[in-house]
Amino acid sequence: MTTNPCASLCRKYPHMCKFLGTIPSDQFQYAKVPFWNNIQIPVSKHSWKLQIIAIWNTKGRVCLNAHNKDWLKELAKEIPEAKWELQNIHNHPYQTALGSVQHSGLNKFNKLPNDHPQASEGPDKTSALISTDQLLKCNIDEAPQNSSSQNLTRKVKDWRD
Amino acid sequence: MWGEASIKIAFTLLAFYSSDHKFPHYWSEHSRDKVFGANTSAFSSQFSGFSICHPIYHENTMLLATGHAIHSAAVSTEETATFMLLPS
Repeated sequence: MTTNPCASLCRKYPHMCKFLGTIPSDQFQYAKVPFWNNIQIPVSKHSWKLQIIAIWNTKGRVCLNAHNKDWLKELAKEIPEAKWELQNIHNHPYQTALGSVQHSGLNKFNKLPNDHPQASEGPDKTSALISTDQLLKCNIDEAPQNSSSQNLTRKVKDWRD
Repeated sequence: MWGEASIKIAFTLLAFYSSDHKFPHYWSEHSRDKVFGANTSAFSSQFSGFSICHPIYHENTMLLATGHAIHSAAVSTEETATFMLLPS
């Protein structure tokens, strides 16, 4: 059993955190970043494994299962290098357990805005967080509004202009 | 730091919901990524909807991201799921 602080925190909220699988250290590799001068900076060989943990609410679970009850099995097929924990994901709510989270200082947290209308501002340490929320909303058959070209165009004025 | 696994998970999840595999929003630690539309302050808002989070391998940051995801899922009134990729 893993005992790092994140895993310990997740185990405090088993109703919201599901350990989906682990990729052994010898089964994954990091993408090589192309540098403009073609010089690769060697990165030391990693010794850690990578855990895949889903943190969700009941609506999130229900929505995933409603779209495809075998979504986890299909994800496992796509990533065979991981060791998956393929139990069924149930839809039933966890009302009692959710109450325990309510005691952990959520008043300030409740004041935070929702993330999807957010504009870019200020540096942060989080490396990558990609949201597919606009695609989903349980309107699964609905195509997204954005076009590829919009996603790749600059959102701020070029400093050279 | 993106690994092949996180990219695969991202695209596999997107394949469930989108026919053309687009990311409507993303967050980066690098402010220079704003030119490509990145958001750079991931903890200034609640996580909502379906996301993949692969934080930098700094213990406090990973713990903060995990707690933020738990709180977000707890308070959100809409469907929310954050797939965390964490070293162990």
